[in-house]
Amino acid sequence: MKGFTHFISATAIATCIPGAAEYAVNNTSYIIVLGGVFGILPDTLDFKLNRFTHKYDELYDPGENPDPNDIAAVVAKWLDVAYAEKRSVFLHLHTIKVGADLWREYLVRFKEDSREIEVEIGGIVNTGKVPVPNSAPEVRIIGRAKVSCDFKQNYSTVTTVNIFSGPSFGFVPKNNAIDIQFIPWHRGWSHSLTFGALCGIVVWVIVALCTKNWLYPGWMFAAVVTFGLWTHVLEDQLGHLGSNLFYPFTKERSEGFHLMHANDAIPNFLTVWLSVAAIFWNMYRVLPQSDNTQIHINGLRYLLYVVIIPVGLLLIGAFIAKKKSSDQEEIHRPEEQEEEVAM
Amino acid sequence: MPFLMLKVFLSTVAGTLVSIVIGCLPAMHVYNVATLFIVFYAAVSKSVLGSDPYVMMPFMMGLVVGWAILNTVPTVFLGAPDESSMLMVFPTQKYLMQGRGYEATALTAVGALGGVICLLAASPFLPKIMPIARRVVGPNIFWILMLIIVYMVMSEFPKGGDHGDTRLARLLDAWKSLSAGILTLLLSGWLGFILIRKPITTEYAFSNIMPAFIGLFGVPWVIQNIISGTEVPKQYFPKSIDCNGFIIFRGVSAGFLGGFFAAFFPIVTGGIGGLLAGHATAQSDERSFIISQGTSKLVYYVGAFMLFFVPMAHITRGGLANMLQTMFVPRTMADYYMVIGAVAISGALAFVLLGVMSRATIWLITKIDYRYASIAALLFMVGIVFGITRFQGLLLMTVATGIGMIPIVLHSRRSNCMGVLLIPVALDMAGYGPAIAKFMGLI
Repeated sequence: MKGFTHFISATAIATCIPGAAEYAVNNTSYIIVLGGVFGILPDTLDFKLNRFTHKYDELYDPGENPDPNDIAAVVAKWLDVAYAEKRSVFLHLHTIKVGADLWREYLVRFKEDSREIEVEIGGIVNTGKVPVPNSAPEVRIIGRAKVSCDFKQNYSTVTTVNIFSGPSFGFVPKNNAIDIQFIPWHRGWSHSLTFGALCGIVVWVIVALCTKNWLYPGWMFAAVVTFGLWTHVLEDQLGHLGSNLFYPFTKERSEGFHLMHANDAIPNFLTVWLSVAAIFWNMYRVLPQSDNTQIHINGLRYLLYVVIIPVGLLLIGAFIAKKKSSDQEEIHRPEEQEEEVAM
Repeated sequence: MPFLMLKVFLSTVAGTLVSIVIGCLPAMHVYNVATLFIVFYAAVSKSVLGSDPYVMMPFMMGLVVGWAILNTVPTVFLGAPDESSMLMVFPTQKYLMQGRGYEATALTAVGALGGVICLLAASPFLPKIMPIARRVVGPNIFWILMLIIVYMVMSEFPKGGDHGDTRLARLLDAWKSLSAGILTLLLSGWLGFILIRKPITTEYAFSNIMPAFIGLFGVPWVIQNIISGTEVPKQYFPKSIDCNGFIIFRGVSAGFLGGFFAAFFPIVTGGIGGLLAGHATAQSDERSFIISQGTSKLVYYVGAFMLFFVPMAHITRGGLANMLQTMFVPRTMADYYMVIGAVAISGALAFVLLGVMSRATIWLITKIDYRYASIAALLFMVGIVFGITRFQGLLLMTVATGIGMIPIVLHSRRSNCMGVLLIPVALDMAGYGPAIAKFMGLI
């Protein structure tokens, strides 16, 4: 899921911790903010630290005029090295920047059955990944390289390399084959339940030392932090990558449930909407009783008007939009096929 | 009754037509001009002519709606970036450099019109919902503002860090832009803290913050244009815009949520609201982003002013509502629906006017050197600041410009400059303001 989704859902969880929302209001405390901070922390650690400190065997730059055979050969070479030397190998493929806001796209296909790496040079896209018209090569430019061992790519057999930073791969020997791990620096220790628990303990100790009380409010801060981080970890399990849940007791990332992609709009927005609804309800729940003008919100009506109806409408809208776009794809597909044949 | 309706209609149209002038000039904020009209109105109301809120309020609404839509013109056409900064500028500027400036204004106009429709659709529910929302959220605003600040810092992506001989070199390269973002936020916050404790003018709160805003956001942009000597390419006028219903729906819905969030919460601006909503809806399409910014800006300014008219809600968000609250108290639903009508009339009129003004501006920038246009814009900004706040304001604007240049030079997110309001207000609300002000020697 997107960073904001993790952030807001962890904040919502923080408001659900017994006593936390009241504590925030009564003590002008930022305890709820801590939930959001630890909800986004795993990605912050990965994308602002681990990504740059990870040790690579090669950082490959295809240059401005890329040769697909060269790119395929580099990937194949490191797969072979991992197999021959029985060690994990890490490769990073750079993107191809061709203008201030323009990038040459290329695709890397891992063909497990034919033990082959195929690279295809694509058209130019802008930073919003919108293709520049007429920028695709007139004839398909494809390069191939053979690999001498079996390999398995669990995430996706096609990797599209286009904007900003390129992808990283970990080639890990396993069961007489190579396991290809996509962005291996991501969702390791930082995305483990154990790390969440550790953060909670550390925060508990700090709060206890500051307040000179070992139980309250230390446990509450610890719960906000731990559940905030765990929310992120558990949400990530819905995707493809999964994470290393019990580092250091487990060494590898578990596979996700493959239910969604991190960038999918509907699940992200749904989570944000439900989180905001939960935060609002919890704020209402702890509204100071001393106020003169009391308000009353009917719980069932709130559920109906804020959760059931909007979520239902959104899901119906998404279904219609998806059907419409798949119908349009059907209309356009024959033309694309004709163009390919003509080439 | 028909006379009243005619009066409201004509006042709205007049306000919208006046907004053409202020909307198309860089750095000319609607609140500055509204101040002049309010002073004039106050003077007239004491004379034999008396006061007529059914002229003033629709006029003001026309002014705000028109400005929120027409201000797209200087945003798109007077902010051409140079090559090096193309990755961190708004998509509207990218469109301008691709000769698609008109398309960018059209997309923004679609977003703004979508915002008007959403506001009209939401208007029957607001009188019931807003008083409750205000009561529930009120005691929690301090931590919600801090939540926004924290998210702005933590969500900034590193730019660079891919090419480096060592891991440390890559890490340092990546953290260059991240550190610049944090520095910008802190310095802006520091400036805001000083500004709130030691205002340069106490007459109107907006005039106090205006030089800082122009310095943080407007001047660096124009200086960049002047230094880089950017040439704007030939602009094209497409027969239709390149987007479909889903992109419009996504942009408008994200923009509405963000804009309304900003309109409801103090200090949060439409830009921040739009940014948060864009992240919430996993937006990556530039067209959708431009549409959402158009919606967000309109809903932020117009929605904030509209909330002022919700009877018994007592919501004064935005400079205009704050200025008018001493002169007018909305009492009935009729007052509320009067301004809703004004929003509809003005929104439709400004939508049409945006196309006309975009064409006129494109004609203008092809006739004169873009660098001269930028110099004229800079002089205009300096003139506005000097005219309203004199030398103190100019000094403040200069300091703010220094801070505003950091994200441009070091390629970080420019929205960090919003720390100027977010940080001091969030800390004040949490009760830490006096201690920090004492530490800074301000009290």
